[in-house]
Amino acid sequence: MWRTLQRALVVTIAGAVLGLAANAVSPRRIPYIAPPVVNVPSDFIPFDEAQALWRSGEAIFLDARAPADYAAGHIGNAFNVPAENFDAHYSPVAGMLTPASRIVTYCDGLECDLSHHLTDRLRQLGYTNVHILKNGWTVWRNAGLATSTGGQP
Amino acid sequence: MKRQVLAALVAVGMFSLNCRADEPAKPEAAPSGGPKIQLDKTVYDFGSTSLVSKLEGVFIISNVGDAPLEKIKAQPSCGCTSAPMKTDKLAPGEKTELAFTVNVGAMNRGHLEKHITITSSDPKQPSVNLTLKADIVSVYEFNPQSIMVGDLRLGSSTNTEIQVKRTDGKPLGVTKVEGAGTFVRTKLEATEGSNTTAIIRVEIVAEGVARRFNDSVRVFGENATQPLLVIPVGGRFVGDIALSQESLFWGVADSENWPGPRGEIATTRKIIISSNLPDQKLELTNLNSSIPELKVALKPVNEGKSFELVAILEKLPKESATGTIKFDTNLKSQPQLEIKVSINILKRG
Repeated sequence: MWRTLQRALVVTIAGAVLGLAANAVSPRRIPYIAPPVVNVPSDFIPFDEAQALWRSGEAIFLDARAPADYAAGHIGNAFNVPAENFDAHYSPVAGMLTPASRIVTYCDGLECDLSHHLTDRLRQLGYTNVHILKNGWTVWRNAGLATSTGGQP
Repeated sequence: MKRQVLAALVAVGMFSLNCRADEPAKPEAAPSGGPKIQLDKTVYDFGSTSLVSKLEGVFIISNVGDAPLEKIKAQPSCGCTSAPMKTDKLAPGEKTELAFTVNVGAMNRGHLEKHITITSSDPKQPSVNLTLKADIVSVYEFNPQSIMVGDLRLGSSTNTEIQVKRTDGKPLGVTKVEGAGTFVRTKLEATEGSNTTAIIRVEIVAEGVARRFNDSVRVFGENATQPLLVIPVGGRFVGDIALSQESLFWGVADSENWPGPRGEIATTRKIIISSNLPDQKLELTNLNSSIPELKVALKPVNEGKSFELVAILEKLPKESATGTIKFDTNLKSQPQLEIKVSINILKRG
């Protein structure tokens, strides 16, 4: 009985030592201490909620992409405020907004950061109710919702 | 003892199998025939970098197969990356360079990661994902990071200051500071006893006509064309009367079911009209809307000081329309005010 336990212990220790050694040199090693989970408040608005805001006209939708991309197709009733040329395009839209206005920004692609840049800029200006519709143009188009082409509405 | 060693080896083998079970499958060995794409690397890591406006690099694409590699395309993940292919076809053994540029833009700190997808006629690996990454480290700290002055009466001005610090120990290196607009006046002042810090004094002068402004203070180093820092400056120049909004927009998504379940939210817009004159009572008269379907009314909020203009679109015009809401005031500086109105009705299909 004692001998069996001894064997089991040796097998367990040998497996653990070699497992830890393999983990230490593995490019996909598992950390021994998991990093703390940080809850970051989300800037993103769920698609259903964005759709409801759009239907009621409660929020103004801002397309953060370049004018050529906007002209080729955009969410219906959205205005174009390109994040990379904010100063030139902000003023006409600003007249429609108050600091508390609900604003939804979007661009295209899961990695697109133009809507983030636009949101940051609007928040700097004092708008407190700005949300991002992630991958906005693609999800909107794929959902078959109303779209427009050409210039500002 | 032999049995113990054997058992230990079996345990290790099982552990290793478990560890590797979720790793992505490696591409199989080169096929005996057909085209085969090969890249010199799939990750381009720029490491830590600072004071850059763009990142550039080159990937080498080769055809190591024994048939022509065709339909080679490079698709960046965002508009900020350009990666034009020199050719869309490679003969066996041929190579081409894929030069890319990532526009870093105004990003002066944070982790940057972009991707380029290469597609081709390689039957085993029809698409390859390339990763471009960098940690942008700012060597400048500035406080505040933006200047938002809110409403500023025409004829008045406001002063503020920005503290700038270089954090890598090198001299500050700021050569010039300027406001993008003529009404933003700036002055750079060195900090006594320090060559790594300075103060930028900013004066915003409310001149011209009442308007919103969105400008910037630009801080330059040795390179006189590309600013080191761009600090946004924003606000509104107002006259004797301030409006909470200067124009109204109705975006109608579904005209057949107007106004829908959120009735009042959809139909009603409100604007606060307030006087900036402390000693004069504000009176508003002759309110009217040029769009017949748009009903307008004024309600006093603070007697003689501010009013709420309520605009209700109870019924939709037949088509999209633009127009104005006008009213007269008793103030000589602004005897009549006009609010632009736009109603955009989306058509089905």
